[in-house]
Amino acid sequence: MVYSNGIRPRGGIGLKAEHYRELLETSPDLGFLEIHAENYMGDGGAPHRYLSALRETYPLSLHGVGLSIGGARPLDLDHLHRLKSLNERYQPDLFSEHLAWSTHDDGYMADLLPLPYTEDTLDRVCSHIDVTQAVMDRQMLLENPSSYLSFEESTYGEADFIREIVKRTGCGLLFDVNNVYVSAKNLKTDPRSYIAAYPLEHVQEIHLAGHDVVKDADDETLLIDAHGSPVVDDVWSLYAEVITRCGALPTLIERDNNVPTLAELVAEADYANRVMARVARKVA
Amino acid sequence: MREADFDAAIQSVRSAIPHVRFPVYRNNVASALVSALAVRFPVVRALVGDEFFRAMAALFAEDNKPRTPVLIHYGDEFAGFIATFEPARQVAYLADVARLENLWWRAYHARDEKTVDASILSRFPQEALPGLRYQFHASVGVMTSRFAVARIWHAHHGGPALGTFHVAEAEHVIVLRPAGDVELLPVSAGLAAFVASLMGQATFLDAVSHATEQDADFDVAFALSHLFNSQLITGIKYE
Repeated sequence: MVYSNGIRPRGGIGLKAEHYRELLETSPDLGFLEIHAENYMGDGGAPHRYLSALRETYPLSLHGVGLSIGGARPLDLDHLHRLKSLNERYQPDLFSEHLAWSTHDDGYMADLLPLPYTEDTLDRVCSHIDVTQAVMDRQMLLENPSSYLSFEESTYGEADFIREIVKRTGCGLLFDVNNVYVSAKNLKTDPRSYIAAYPLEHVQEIHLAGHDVVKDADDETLLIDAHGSPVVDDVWSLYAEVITRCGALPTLIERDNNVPTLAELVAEADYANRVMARVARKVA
Repeated sequence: MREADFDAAIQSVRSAIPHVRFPVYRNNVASALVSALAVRFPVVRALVGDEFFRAMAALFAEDNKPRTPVLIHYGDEFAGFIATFEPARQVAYLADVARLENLWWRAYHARDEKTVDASILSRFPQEALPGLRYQFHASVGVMTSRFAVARIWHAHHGGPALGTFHVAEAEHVIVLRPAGDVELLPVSAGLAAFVASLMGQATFLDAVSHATEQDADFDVAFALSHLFNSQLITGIKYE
């Protein structure tokens, strides 16, 4: 199998089963495709058949949602080996996971759950990343979470916590700009101070997504990282600022709910290309 | 918010809410599981409507946590749950449609394997044929329902609409994915019993007698050619 390699700083989209056929038939101009690793952990059939075919055309980003890097339990080695086989089979250009946890003694929690930022959690996250990078035999990118609350125990700010993880493990970063925006609104902090404190020099990929706006029980506005709508203007502005600081990067449009037509997603990915081009002209 | 309180609250949907923002996490968990079931059981969802489906799936999810992060395996027990779910009783065939969607999903994700044709039989002496055991492609499943489950399924995938056939008509269905796409093959009661026996590792002879008990019209020669023509078989064991 000859794979398309070398991810470029362009817009990409998440691969969805409803778009398999159209993607293969029309090969739209996209920087890359990203898959949720867990959706390709079946034994065979259409998911692997289409992914193998599409992999010949597109660079690939492998994005795990279930490794529970931030969990108190030891890593699930069976799961890590499933990731390793996907990595070997499809040779993705990038591999990423989350600064979050999701696995408990009685099963998988199906969400990206938050952790406090302390010396203890720093040690365990770093040791989980060390194991992951050793078993996978490659660098992983760590994604910043979206937050709805914060922990009293935390002694690190999130950006500093992440900077320390990079220093200790040598991992790279996946910077989710929508998560920065969602967290800042929810925790009443300034997204620009977060970006200023963030180790942007280690960012290798960007995620952009839409969010839901709801009210909590105290009738306060709450943003939810729902991946069910287009990216909002405020997030596009933050994205332009990030790109101004760290240069153009592979940028994923994430859409997991209310999945629109392929054409709409491709247009949104192309909008990221235009923002990158505009920033490049301005910087020059 | 303290970490220990968060951990305690996330583990049980019946525990107290420790923070005004905490319900977001609980809702996210429920919504992820309900969405996974909605992807796996689209016909069940269409039959009862989105609102009913989400409520039913959320109740299932409360007591059925996924065992692994591989959510494509989540929901194996959903058909059994539907069968005992009182509010769904009015749609008598709902649980059977869920069983069919289970088989469809299993076939969709099954291992890719090569099948064999009938010429493989020539490798065995005539007297060995009754004692042979057949190996089936990983995608193959078989089910019997008191309802026209395959036609109900097709009605939601571009086939003749509900109302144009009798739903209370028994159907026997073989589910398989010989090449690209998953297929549903309506078969006779005898053929379904024959395949189910062989899949349960019965010998050819035992499977034939089981099928004949179920269906007096069972045609051995037709059944045998069906196994190979439909690409169900990957190998034969002779002990």
